[in-house]
Amino acid sequence: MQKMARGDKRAFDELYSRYSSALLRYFHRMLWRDKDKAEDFVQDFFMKLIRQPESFDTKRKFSTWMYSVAHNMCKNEYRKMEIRKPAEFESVVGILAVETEDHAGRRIDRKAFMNSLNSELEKMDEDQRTVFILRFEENLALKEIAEVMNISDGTVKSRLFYTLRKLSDKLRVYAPETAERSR
Amino acid sequence: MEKEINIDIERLLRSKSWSQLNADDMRQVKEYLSTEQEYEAMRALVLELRSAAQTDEALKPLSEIRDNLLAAFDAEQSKRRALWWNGLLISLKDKLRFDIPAIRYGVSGAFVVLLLFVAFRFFTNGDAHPDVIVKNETAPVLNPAQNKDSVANEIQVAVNMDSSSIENKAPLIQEHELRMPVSQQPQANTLATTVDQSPMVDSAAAVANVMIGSSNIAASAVWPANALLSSGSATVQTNNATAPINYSWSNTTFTDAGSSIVVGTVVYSVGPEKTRPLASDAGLVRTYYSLR
Repeated sequence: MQKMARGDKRAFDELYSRYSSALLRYFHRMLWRDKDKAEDFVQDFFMKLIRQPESFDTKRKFSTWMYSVAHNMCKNEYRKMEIRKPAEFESVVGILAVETEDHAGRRIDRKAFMNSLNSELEKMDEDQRTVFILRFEENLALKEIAEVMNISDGTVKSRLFYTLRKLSDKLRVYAPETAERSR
Repeated sequence: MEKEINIDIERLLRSKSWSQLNADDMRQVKEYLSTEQEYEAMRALVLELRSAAQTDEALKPLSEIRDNLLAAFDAEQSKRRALWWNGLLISLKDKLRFDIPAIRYGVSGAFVVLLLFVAFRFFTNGDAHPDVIVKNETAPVLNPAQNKDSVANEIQVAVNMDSSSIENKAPLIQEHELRMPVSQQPQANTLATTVDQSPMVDSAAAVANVMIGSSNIAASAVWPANALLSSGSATVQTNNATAPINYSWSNTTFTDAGSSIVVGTVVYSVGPEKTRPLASDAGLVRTYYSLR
């Protein structure tokens, strides 16, 4: 990052190669699985980095800082989309539900499970959803999540617990198979 | 108001079923969950999430985004350079009163001297500065038996040590001493730059310009990052061809009467594409220069 700030293009390219996919995945997940929007956000993020490399705090781990910035970008987007979001989301769920009817066996269960999970996650408040995604999709440690969201470790644990409990309750229909596997 | 949770529930769910919880775990879990069904449903979800994450498709951004960003990076850097220059010129303009003849002539004179200096250096290939090259007319002979009173003799011992260790590690490299008069020894300034940059700074690309002799046998090697700290391979660009090179590098600093002398040793062997003296056989180049 320091090399990039000094104008080293290769360092920037390396940074991009290393983190762009993870960032895209995060935006994609946080922004209603809209890939175009997620790509726009990835581009915006790196443009900010190019224009204001000094905004990066060198004492922090790059990935944690990256998710902090990305988290704030998503929050801004939620504010903008406050009204449009439910309608858009329902249409996406509808499409996914139709897709799952065309398949059979284990794959359809996994797909149906993921669709339902996404659907339930979208209904949760953004803080619970963010904690869940950072933990289970981006594999961040609890401490890192606390740093990204600027909250205490205890709050992260609580949010994770209540999110899991709520989801397990809502997704109980998929439990027999998973419960069997867990034994 | 939801109760604050103090246990890492995910860790427990991942590792233990309800029946595997010990008394301590059970006490903690029961503070927040009342039934086995609740616990097992959460556990099933966590395990399912783990396997779902492993099979989730990988997302990659469009390649156009990378291209756009690299172009934007270039544009931003040009803008910054332009800003820097403008700032410099403005500050010079403020500080230097060009309307005063003495300042005007002084600056012009300094510029001409600088120009002459650069031209002189260019046409003489740097030989105009023998004072920065060690005074020996030829490189010292490898002879550890000589007395060790002078810095030069210490250098010889160090070179011998380097040579033998390199020989042990890489028997295929034939060591060949290139004895050169001062005028053909590697240029001091260039190599001093190498020492300043490469071994001490983790730079993205260390460049060592090994200028040997007059221009017809000159060669420059571009080394990858940290190359001069150890061994590896790089490419040597001679006047006529590019050849792969295997090398190892070491340097040692000696201090004598307040001035330091650094000995850098490059052992190299060059591939079959060689066309020029540097590329004509495997060899050992010893370089001597002083840091002042």
